[in-house]
Amino acid sequence: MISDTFRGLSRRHEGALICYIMGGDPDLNETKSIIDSLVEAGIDILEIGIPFSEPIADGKTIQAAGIRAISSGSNWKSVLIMISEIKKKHKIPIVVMTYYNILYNPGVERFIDFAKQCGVDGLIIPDLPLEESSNVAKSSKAKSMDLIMMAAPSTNQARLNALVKSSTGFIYLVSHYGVTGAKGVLSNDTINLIRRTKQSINGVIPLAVGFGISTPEQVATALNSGADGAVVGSALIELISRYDNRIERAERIIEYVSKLKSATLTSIRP
Amino acid sequence: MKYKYPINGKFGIYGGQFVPEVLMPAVHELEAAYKKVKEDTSFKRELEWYLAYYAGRPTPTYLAKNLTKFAGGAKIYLKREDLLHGGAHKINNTLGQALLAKYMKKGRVIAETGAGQHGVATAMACAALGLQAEVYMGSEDIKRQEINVYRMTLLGAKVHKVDSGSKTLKDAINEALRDWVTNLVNTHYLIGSVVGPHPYPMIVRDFQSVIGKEIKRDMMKIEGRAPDAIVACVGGGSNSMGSFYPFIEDQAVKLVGVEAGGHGNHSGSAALLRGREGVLHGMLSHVLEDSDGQIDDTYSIAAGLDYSAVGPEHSYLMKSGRVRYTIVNDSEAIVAFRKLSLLEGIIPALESSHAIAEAIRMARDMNEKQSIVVTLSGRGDKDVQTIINRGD
Repeated sequence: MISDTFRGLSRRHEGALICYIMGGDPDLNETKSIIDSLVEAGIDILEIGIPFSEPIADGKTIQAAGIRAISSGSNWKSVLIMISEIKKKHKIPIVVMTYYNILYNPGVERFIDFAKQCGVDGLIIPDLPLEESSNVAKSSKAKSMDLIMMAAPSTNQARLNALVKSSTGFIYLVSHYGVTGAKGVLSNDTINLIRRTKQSINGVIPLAVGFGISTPEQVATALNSGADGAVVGSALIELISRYDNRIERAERIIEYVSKLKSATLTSIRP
Repeated sequence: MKYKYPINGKFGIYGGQFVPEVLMPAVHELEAAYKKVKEDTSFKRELEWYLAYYAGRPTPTYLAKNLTKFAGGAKIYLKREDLLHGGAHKINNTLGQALLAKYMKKGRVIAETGAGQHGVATAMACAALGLQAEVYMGSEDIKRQEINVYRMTLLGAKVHKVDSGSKTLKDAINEALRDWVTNLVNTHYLIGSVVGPHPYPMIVRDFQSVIGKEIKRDMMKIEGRAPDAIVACVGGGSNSMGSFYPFIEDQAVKLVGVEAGGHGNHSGSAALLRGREGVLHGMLSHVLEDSDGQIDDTYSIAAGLDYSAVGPEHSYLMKSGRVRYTIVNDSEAIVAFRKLSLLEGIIPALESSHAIAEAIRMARDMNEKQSIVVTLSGRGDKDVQTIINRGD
């Protein structure tokens, strides 16, 4: 499903807008209403976090969202059940982002079985590098679940080749040395990194860029540099956390996310 | 039986490298650099020099006659790591890793600390070796350990307050990992225990195994044979791992690890005996977690044992049956703390007091020809205030 989405977008000369939110922040009912707004704003892929108490790859914003989600009672099962409800309503591809202990606790196979039943299309596990991924890859493959591997600025060509070979759905490129969190502009290093990575991947699998992307300009730059998609997370979570009122929140989300989505259209025009 | 773990970064199924992709080249680089210095005579000579003249090695293996008489059974020896510079075994590892950082040409060193002992030992080693040290410490721990924070500052280290999560050791490790992800090009992360992604559990074990090697040599000299048992406390598990490692192949030596039971019931930080297999801080080992896989906050009167996970090699040694693990509660540790102070004139760290409590228990069921070595991992001056505050 994820690769179909990228194929369709590429045919329409669009990039993918991938939005990340935390499942259960501020609670699961609100998450559902937030997702309605995201879909209405035109996002292409939804990335939902299952909170973990020790999120080592995340900056302050997503850490705080995780704490809110855990205290609202959100856990792996309740987030996956919520996803099954979303899937009944929206036809959007859904990727789950969580840390390995959350899968290890119930058992990798059991987690992936249940995720599949709930309609999850792919998994991103930031603390599961290639060398440790064979178990998860096996169970994912058995259930035709995409396992999206991450690449980073420190990844060399040999590793990248291996990542491309084992990743399904897309490759998630971490844009800079650091953790998640909104940043001002994409640095030249990041632009070069995207170019270099895109060239190395050579069209074998789509490339999405995340970490530090928050503005339509950054989305456009990422796509113009060769990415097939851009991930926006922290800035969106920050915006969501500012509104208690559902209607006002929905308006703001739609306003912000529509602009991000527009950038995926214009940026690819010659 | 030859013991040669880790194999491919794992102790049986435990260990591994559960870290973000961005860190993979860094852990590979560290492993390669470590392998190189391990065979490098000038590195070894320099480290030995610092261990001898700066840290004060070797430390005595002391026959505690009064404690032995009190227990009324096996002879109890104390491996006096409390006499080292800084007052704890931590300096064995920080000197080793700081020197390794220097050989890797990384001028900046980061570390996490709970009670502050590892932070202080890192600050000392970095000052001695001319490296810049930055230490992450939970804001709760900063409140509890003001003196250690000031000591680190005096030693030239910068202390970063960590306000995330439970604001204690595990959160300090998270924050140090986030720093490392951001600054890995010029930064060495100096982990303080046998935890974290491979190769850390191996590196820290190797640097701490000087403890066990000296025990072996001293006991041969004093008793003409290896001790019948070695007892050490286990938080992350570095002083115990360092004490046990040279004896793993010698099945005649009983190895006993003591976890902290806190108030009793189900408090405490006994990850091995009360936890489940899980993945935290880059390793697969035993963790204390809730039914959803969220990591529990822990409690022990001994801040150095207060950690939600444990080194992966301990998980392996428990599963294989080579090491017996047991639990000692706060109140039993305090009794041992007072006993050793009164009987031997040695104020032990509360961490080590857990091991002493178990050694007294064990000695009673053994005869006077047998011997137990307890690793006295640190001195207890830092804990006096805690004892005063309890008022018992």
